[in-house]
Parts: sequence; structure tokens; C-alpha cells
Amino acid sequence: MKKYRNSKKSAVLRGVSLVAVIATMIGFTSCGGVDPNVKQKENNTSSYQVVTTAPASDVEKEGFNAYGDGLTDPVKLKGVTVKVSDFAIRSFELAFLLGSGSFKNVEKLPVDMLTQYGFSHLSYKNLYEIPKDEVLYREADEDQIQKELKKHFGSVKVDLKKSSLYNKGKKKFEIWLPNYGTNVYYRVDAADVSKNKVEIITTFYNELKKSSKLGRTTLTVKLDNKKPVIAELKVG
Amino acid sequence: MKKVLSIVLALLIILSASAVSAFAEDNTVEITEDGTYNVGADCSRLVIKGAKATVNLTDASMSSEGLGYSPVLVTDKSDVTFVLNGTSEIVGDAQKESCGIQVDFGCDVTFEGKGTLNVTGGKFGAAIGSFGTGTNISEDQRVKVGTITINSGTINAYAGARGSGIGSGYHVNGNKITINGGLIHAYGKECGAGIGSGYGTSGGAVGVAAVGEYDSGKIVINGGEVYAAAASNADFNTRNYADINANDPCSFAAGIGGGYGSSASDIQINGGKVVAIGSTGGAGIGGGRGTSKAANYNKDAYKVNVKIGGNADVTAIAGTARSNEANSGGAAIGSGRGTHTGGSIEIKGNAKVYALSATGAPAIGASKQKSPVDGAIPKAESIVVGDNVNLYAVSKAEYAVDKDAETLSINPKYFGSSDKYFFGESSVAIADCNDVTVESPEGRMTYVAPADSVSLWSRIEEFKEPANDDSGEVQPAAGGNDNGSGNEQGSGDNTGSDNDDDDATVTKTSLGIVTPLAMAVRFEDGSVYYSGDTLEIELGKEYKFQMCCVDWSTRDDNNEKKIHKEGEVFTSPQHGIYSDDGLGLRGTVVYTVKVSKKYDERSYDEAAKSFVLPKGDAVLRTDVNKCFMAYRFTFRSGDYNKQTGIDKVVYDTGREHVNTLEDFRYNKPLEFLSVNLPLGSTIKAIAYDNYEKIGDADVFVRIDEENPDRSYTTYVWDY
Repeated sequence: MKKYRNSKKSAVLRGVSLVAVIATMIGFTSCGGVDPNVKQKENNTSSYQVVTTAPASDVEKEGFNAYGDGLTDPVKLKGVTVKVSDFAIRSFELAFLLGSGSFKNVEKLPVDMLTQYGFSHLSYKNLYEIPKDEVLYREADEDQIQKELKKHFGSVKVDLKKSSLYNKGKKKFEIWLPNYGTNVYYRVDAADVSKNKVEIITTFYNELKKSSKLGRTTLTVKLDNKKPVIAELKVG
Repeated sequence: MKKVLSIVLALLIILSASAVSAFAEDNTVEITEDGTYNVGADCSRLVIKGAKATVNLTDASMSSEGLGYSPVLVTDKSDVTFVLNGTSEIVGDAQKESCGIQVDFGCDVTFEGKGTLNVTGGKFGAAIGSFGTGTNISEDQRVKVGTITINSGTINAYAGARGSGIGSGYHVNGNKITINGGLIHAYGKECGAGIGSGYGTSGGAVGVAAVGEYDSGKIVINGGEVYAAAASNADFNTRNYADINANDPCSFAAGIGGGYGSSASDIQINGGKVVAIGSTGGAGIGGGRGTSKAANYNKDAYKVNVKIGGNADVTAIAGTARSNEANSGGAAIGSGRGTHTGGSIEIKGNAKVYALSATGAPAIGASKQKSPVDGAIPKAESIVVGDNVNLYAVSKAEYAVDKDAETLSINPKYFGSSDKYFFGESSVAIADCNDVTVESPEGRMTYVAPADSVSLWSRIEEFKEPANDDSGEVQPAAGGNDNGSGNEQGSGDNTGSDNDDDDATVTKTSLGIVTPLAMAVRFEDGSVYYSGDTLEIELGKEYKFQMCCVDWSTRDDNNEKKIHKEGEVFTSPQHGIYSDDGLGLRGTVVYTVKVSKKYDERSYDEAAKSFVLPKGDAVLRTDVNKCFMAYRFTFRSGDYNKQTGIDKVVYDTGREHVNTLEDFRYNKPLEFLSVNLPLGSTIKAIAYDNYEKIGDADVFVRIDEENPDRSYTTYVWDY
């Protein structure tokens, strides 16, 4: 059973942890597990490749923003940069803005949900930035959405034209962009880099001081044509 | 001594062989011998014992308020014919178990004449029939009422608490009621049927007093005008027909048939005009509301058997369920909510039948709340509809008639082309049925269905191929400039203006809006419309819109609730409010609507989400056509005392001014929550156990890809 703990630790603990990591590194490398109690500031030789602990923001800014801390800097997977904070946000979008629940195969997601995810990302890199009190109409072609989905998930073999967002008469996709606008408060607890994947474990909160939990996700990132893409998501 | 004196006096009168009035010292008339009697305004109480009597009831006025008895008592195997003259008023004692006219078991009572009888029951009593008791009683003790026959006259029968209008009282079975003529208004009260049985039971033990073990007896209507309704718990103005609205909570009874917990084993309507309204889980015609517990339900005893034939003209309405039971109340004709069967329903002859269910129950058949016995969805045992029947059936359910009936006999030519609606989208939409007003010579009874609760008027008629566009006669436009050329199709090829003929003159028209319950439509200019609203749009122009659901805390049936929002206080409308700044939710699917310049063009292109409506009848019906999804929430380990809330829709607002029933209903998580939601929205659903949060889930609202025709989705909490 995995146990996770806040990544903010004292320097003393980090020092102790460094020794512990070195001592146990071989074992963890073989099984792909991660002990998030062991976080290193600079450990490029570790399988964890965790770089730093970002300071938490303590002041909220105007508009919708993501306030993350923990292990938010990139890690490397087979030499490819994986932006941990970006994928943490993706897991938030899927789990809490779209209600995807856990999935192991993105093609099993409802076509309406998948289409809406890709369609919305055509207009907004981060879905939490979509204005909350404006209603925005958008049109798109299928290949635009497919390309967007490919950026997120790799090749996806789903007939998007089955979506409710497809207008067969116009041969276009149409959407009233969902009003997802919200602040995102999160802490990346761990980024477990193994041979073929990165598991990004993130806890989301309801407010800036991060005392009330919204939920937790474990997002699995794999490489698809040397691009990091979402492979699996576990919620809860 | 008084008793002896009155008997002697009565005998003397009878021996005179003439119809006279006779009074004891307290103005009680006691009849013990056969004969004809006149009873008028001087009589304070009428008791008929063991006599075959004709009583000319002329402008009588009797009240037993505070006296603890029924002002008219027919007992000891009497056979009495009341001849109605003038207007008589009879009122039982509201504080003591009593009736207006008490007809004991073994007695036969007939009403005829040209006069009017206004009669009100006392506590636990029918207006005409029997009274009952506040505790469950054994089966042999439930036989209390005699037979009642009405041949003519005007009778307005208002039950006492928990009694029927005409029939039995609380915890008492019905016997036999026959109506051959006359004008009758009969209203049950507090779980009593309008005509049939009073409050049966909310659930005793099987074999003792379980739901279904009470019965409304035999009810036969051969003629006359009959208006029967299950009325509310609240006081109602029993003298103002227009004020009586069966759409009040907690009546739980049928209009004609069973009271709460009662069967309706034998209802025959062979003629006459009949209007029957059940409410809050009771059928319009049929059984009363059941239970959710198997231990309190006797599936072998609960029976519904309704036969309609001859030239009967019948309107049956099952009113709304409680707010958290909108998935299924009672059927218009069939069973009540919380029962195991819809029973047997036969409609034959040349009958004309309107059946309207305002909830997810079919108009004809079984309520679709899961069975208390096995959790299965109930179905009717048998439904037979003859070829010459003129049937109009409407329901919020997927099917106006219970297609799952074990035996279903209906001419297939009546079927439309759609699988979703039993009688087909190709059937003829005949009316908007938000208001059903029934007129009668003596007054009127109005049933106001929730403005957005009814999805479909469908008429059974011989199926006809839809006329194609070319054959449709083009009417001259109101503006006089429609040349009728062109052949408009369901979906436009472009966004924005879509004038597809050469008419250079822009003509505007009204567009009516119908939405599912607690939903709204938002047009691209930001304007929001609710069911019953109209707006003015340009003919031939395509408008984009989206579906929204309202914040239930802003709904108010009475338009009285004060809403506190950001320091402002305003009166909430009945339909509730959606607003872009946070009240309710909105969907992401883009729909379009266009009013054609033709009178005969109506289509919904599902693939394009595009409505085309005919000029002259431009009503945007978003309550059909897959514009939303109804989500039902239930719990894996049982629903008892577990609730579901939805953020921004159905939730505890935390307001401190909760002081009305409506406040409570619309601001708390609900058991058996069923809620209409816009596609593409994501809801935050919250599970509660006794109003304590036990979990939550983010749920994406969508059409079930594996069952695309299903209009509801059941979400099962893992608790």
C-alpha cells in the first residue's frame, strides 16, 4: 500500500531522505514504485528525477489561475521532457471539469466527453481559464479536434462524429464552450518516473491554503512518437 | 325516552299514509317503517333504521359540528331513496368520526331528483358512505359501508379528513357505488379518493393491514357527469370549484378508485362524462399510492381492474408526484406509485378517453417506480384498447401507454414511426395541456399541470403517412408576401440568417417555448426563456440556443418565495431561474430553431440538432427530441433516508429563512432525486445519509451511447 505525504519537508528530512533513496534506489527502480516521503532537490541520477519543490503561492491573483506546488518542474522520460504541472492540470480537467472518472484507455471515454475535451482545448490551453460568465460559441472541423486530442492522448481511434457536438447538416462541430472557469489549487505529491511512463500523483484542494481536499489523481504519462501523452487516469 | 317518542311519532305519520315531516324534540327524524317522508329545513338529524323509505329531501340543512355523529344515518338494512329538491346542506362533525350521510353496511341508498345536495364528511369520514378509524383494523371490521346509487340530481360531496368524497372512510373498504346520472363533484381529502375508498394504509403488516389489502370496491358509472378528485391535505375552499386544484402535495389517492394504500379491484365506466384526478402517487382512475417497503405491501392483494366502454367520455389525470418522486407518480389509468402491478385495463366500445400523467408514469398502465416487492419496474398485467376507441394519451414518460404490459392488445395501425414514443412522433399533436380546465354547468374544476411537465400529447389515430412538403398546401403569409415557393428542409446549411426564398420582406412571428421540468433555453443573444414564454423572432431565420437547468432553490409554485441573492431580495418565479452568473447549469450542445414561412413544415433533424417549425404553430418543444437527459439517483444499499444533491441545482443553500414547505423542498438534497440536466454539463453530485454528506462525484451529462434512445440515466451511488 502506498502512502503519500506532503512534499514540503525540512532540509534535515531531505538529507535523511537522500541517504534513504540511495540505499533503496535499486529496489524501487526495478518495481517502478515510489516512496514520496523521499524527495530530492537535485538528484539527476535518481530514477525519480524530481528536481525541486516549488513554493506555494500565498496570494490569489485576479482571474482564474492554477496555484500549484510540490513537484511541479519537468522530469525526463527517456530523455523527453514531461511538464509535470501541465499534466497535473490535465488530470484536474479530466477528473473534475469533465468528470471522466478513472480510465485505462482513453478510447473508452464517452465520445461526447472526449470531443468536448478536445474541442475546448482548441480555444484554451487550460480549460480552467474558460470564462465562467460568458457564453462562447465555437465551430471546428473534425481534423482540428483529432489533432488536438492527439496532442493530449496520442492516436485516438474514436468516431467523433457520433458526438452530440457534431452537426451533420453543417458537417461541423459546434459547441457552447463550457464555463469551466475556476482556480486550481494543487500539490504534486510525486512524479514516479519508471522505464516507460511517469505517474504524476496530485492532490487538489478547494482553496489556496490547501486545507480542504477536492480529490486526488494519478495520471500516467507515456510516450507516443516521442511526445508525452496521457495514457491512464486514476481518480481517488 | 326521546327515542321511543320519535318512533311512536314516526309510526303515526306512516300510518297516515301520507308523506309528512316528523320531528322529535331535538328535531331528529327517526324513520323505522317503510314509507315516503318529507324532510326539510326543520330537521336537524335524520336516522333511518330498518326501513324501505323514500325521503324527499327539500332544502334541508343539517350539521353535526361538535355533536359527534353523522347528521344523516342510514342503518339496519334500510333501503332509502333520497329525492333531491331545492338545495340541501349536510355537514358532519370535523372533530369526531362521522360522515355527512352515513350508509352502513347492509343498507342501500339511492339519490335522484332535480335538486342539489351539498354534503361534507366529518372526521375520517366520507361525505356519503362510511367513516373509519385512526388505527388499522382487521379485515372483517373494514366492511362498513353499504351500496350507493345516484340516478340524478346534483351532488357535491366533500370528504372529511382521510375520507373519500363518496365511498368509505379511513381504514375502511369500499363496497358498491353506481352512478347512472346526475351531476356529481366528489373530492377526497387527506389521502382519500374522490370516489372509492378513503385513506387505506401507509403500510401495516402483510395479512393484517398491508398496502393493497384495502379496496375501493365496485364502482360502476353508466351515465351522468362525474368529477372526482383526490384533494390536498391543506384546507380547500369546498364551495369554490375553481379553487380546487388536485395538484397539491400529499393526497396520495386516486380520483376514482383507491385511497392511499388501496386497491381498485373493480371499476367499470360504461357511459357518461367522467373527469378524475389523482395526485401525489395516486392514479387518476385506479389504485392509490403504495409503499416502498415489501413488508408493507401485499402483492397478491393489490389489484387494479379498470374497464371503460360504451360511449363513455373519460378524462383521467394523474397529477404531480412529490418533488423528489417526479420519476413516476401514479398512472392516469392504472396503478399508483409504489405498487407491484398496473393491473388490467380495458378500453373498448366507442369510448373517448383522455389520459394524462404529469410524471414519469405512463398515462395508461403501471407506475414506473420500482416495485416494493422485487425492485423490478412494474408493468401492467393487461391493456386492451379497442379499435373504435378515441384515445388521447400523454405522459412525461417515454411511453404514453405501458408498452411493457404482459398482455397488450392494440391495433398496430395506431402506432407511429418512432420507437421512443409509443404512439409516435408522427402522431398528431393536438394541444398544449399545461392547463386542463373542465367545465361543468355548475362550475369548473381546473387542473394546472406544471408548465413544463408534460412532454407529449399524442393521439391514437389511424396512422397516416406524413404529407410530403410538395403536397402541403401553402397558406398565404400573415404579411401577405410569402410566395410559397421553395421546399424548406429541416436543417440549414449555414449559420445565421437563412432566408431560403425570395421574400425580401422580413416577417416576424411568435415562438412559444416548452422545456422539460426545471429547465430553460438560452438563446445566443443571452436571453433566457422558460416553459410558457414566447419571444418574437424572424421568419426563416435560424437561431442558435442551448439548454440550461435552473437552480431549484429559485423555484416556487406559489410565486411567493423570497430569494436572497447577493444582498437582493426578489420573488422567485414558479419555473425557477437560470443565469449565466451561477444559478443552474448550462449545456454545451448547439441547437437551432427556425420558423418556416410555411404552415405545414415541422421537423426535428436530430443529426443537426435543428428544429423547423411551421408558421402559425411555432412552439419549440425541447421536452422531447433528446435535448436533455433525466438523471435518477439511487443507492446501492437502499434509498431509505439517503439523499442526493447537485451543486448549483439541488443543494442546501444554507439559507436561514427556510420557513415554508417550498423552501424545504427546493433547498435540500432529495431522496430518489430525478433531475433534468443539459447535455455536456458536468455536475457535482453529492450523496447524503440522513443529510450528512457521505460522498460526491463529478458526472458528465450525456446520452448513453449504448442506449441512445433512452431518455433517462440511472446513477447508482456505491453506498
